[in-house]
Amino acid sequence: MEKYYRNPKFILLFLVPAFVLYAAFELIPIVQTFWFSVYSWSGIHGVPMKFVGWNNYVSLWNFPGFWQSMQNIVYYVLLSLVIQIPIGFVLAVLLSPQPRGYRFFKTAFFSPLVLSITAVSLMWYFILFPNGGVLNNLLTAVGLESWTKNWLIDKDTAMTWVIVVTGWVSTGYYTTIFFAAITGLPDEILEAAALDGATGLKKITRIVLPMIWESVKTSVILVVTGILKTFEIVFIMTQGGPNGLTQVPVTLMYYEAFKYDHYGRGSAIAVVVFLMSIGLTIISLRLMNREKIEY
Amino acid sequence: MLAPARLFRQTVLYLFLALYALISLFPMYFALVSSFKTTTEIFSNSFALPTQYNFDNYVRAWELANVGTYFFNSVLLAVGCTALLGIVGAMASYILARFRFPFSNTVFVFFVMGMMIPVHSTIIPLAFNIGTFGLRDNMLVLILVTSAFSLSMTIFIVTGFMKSVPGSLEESAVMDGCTHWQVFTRIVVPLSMPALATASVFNFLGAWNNLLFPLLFISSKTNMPLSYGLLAFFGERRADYGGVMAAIVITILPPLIAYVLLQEKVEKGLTAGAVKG
Repeated sequence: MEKYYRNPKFILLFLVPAFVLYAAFELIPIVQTFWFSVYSWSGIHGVPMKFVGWNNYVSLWNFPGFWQSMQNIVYYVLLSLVIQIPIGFVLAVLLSPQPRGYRFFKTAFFSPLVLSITAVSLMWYFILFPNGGVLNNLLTAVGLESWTKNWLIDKDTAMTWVIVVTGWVSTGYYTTIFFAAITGLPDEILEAAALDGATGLKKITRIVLPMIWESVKTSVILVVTGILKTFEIVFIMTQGGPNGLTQVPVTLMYYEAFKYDHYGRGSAIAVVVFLMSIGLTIISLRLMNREKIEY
Repeated sequence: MLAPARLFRQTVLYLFLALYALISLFPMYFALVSSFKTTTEIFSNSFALPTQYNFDNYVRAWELANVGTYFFNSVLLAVGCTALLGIVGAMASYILARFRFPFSNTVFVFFVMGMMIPVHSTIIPLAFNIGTFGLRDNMLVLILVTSAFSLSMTIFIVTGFMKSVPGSLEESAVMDGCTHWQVFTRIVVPLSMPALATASVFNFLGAWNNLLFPLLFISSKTNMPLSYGLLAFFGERRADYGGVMAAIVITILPPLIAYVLLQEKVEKGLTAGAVKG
């Protein structure tokens, strides 16, 4: 048996297909991204790439559109944390005693997650449509015609709606995670807490929340890294507009590279996105750990 | 008979749940009812059920707007990715879960690390490479690229599961003279089915709903999957709201049906990355 599990030929034979797939389409490109980011390059075949060192990063530093996108993504992440995790948690707490019909509600809350994000973005585009869209029709019907807006073009509301639609898609995800965590808690603990007089809100904040803290931690990281990867909602609903107010780093990178042929600058943004994604995962893990110790 | 306080609490609870369920389901209801309406009806009467159910929008979308072709391409893409990942992922997972070789743990971390790589950070070189090798607009290449980005998650899910399965059945098969391949196909794969199914749900939905790769690597309508086709349809026939709504319904219906039928599996598949093994 020992020999069976040490057969080098078989080990290689079975690992190689996965390795090739992984290396060719994921690892090599991510290394190339770093490499491309120090070249100036129009993306046209035959036109040689020119080494420019840090120039792409310097020009990015001086590019207001980049800072706008960074500011937008910070707002996007923070507001998403404030929306998705608390609502997800409250819904999970309400569903956790498994009231009659809870399965229906759980299914309904989770269902946006299985939908194509392209379709979701288009559905919301139509709901928020200025003339005859559902939202404006609704406002008009209840006599609030003065509140109607061109939601995705208006500079005060475009980013908010991008965040709301993202929350609409993802909140059910956190409900499902928290629901599993809460219903997985041992009954004795909750009963003991009830005997000690911890009921209602107190039970939730003092007993339930600390006990599912691992899930909260994971969820925070998932929201942060998930938002960094959000592309379609912005790309389809606002194209980064109005005036770059909803542009996020990944859409900016897409437009810089594939619309304006600034491949070097696009690659520099891709490197920043990569580092942010890894860095934020590590930072979130650290921060959440500390809070747990302080508790 | 409920006490008044409890009755009140129950009512508030259900009102709150119903409100959020309404918010969750409304866009789908809106797309569905609109897909049977004429354009004027969509705008003048967005909430109501259609005055009459006609399938004109569906016929127009399916035939004139190529949605039929897109649908077939999506099936091909999603099934192709799921099958490829099932095979390649199960093979690698078996080695990583059971076999003993130098740095085996490092190799596992190496594969799983891919979950941290943001897709968007790789697309410029990917587009460059695929262009250089003349592999654009190729369904097989689209399947390979899309699969590559779900590989880490597949290996993560399946390896974890395989480690938890006792090795005694494999042992007796080896004693009976089975080859590595026979042990793998007759014992390991059948025993790992729960994990493979969970990973497959994740992979199928991921491929079905992916927009970015088709957008970058597919250029002809004959090869477009639904996500990109839907966007192309919307771009070209912006005024045909009914048709776009029908195309939206066609796009979201298969995943929704899969979800309703395989609820637990789908929830597990999509939250697998969040729940540590």
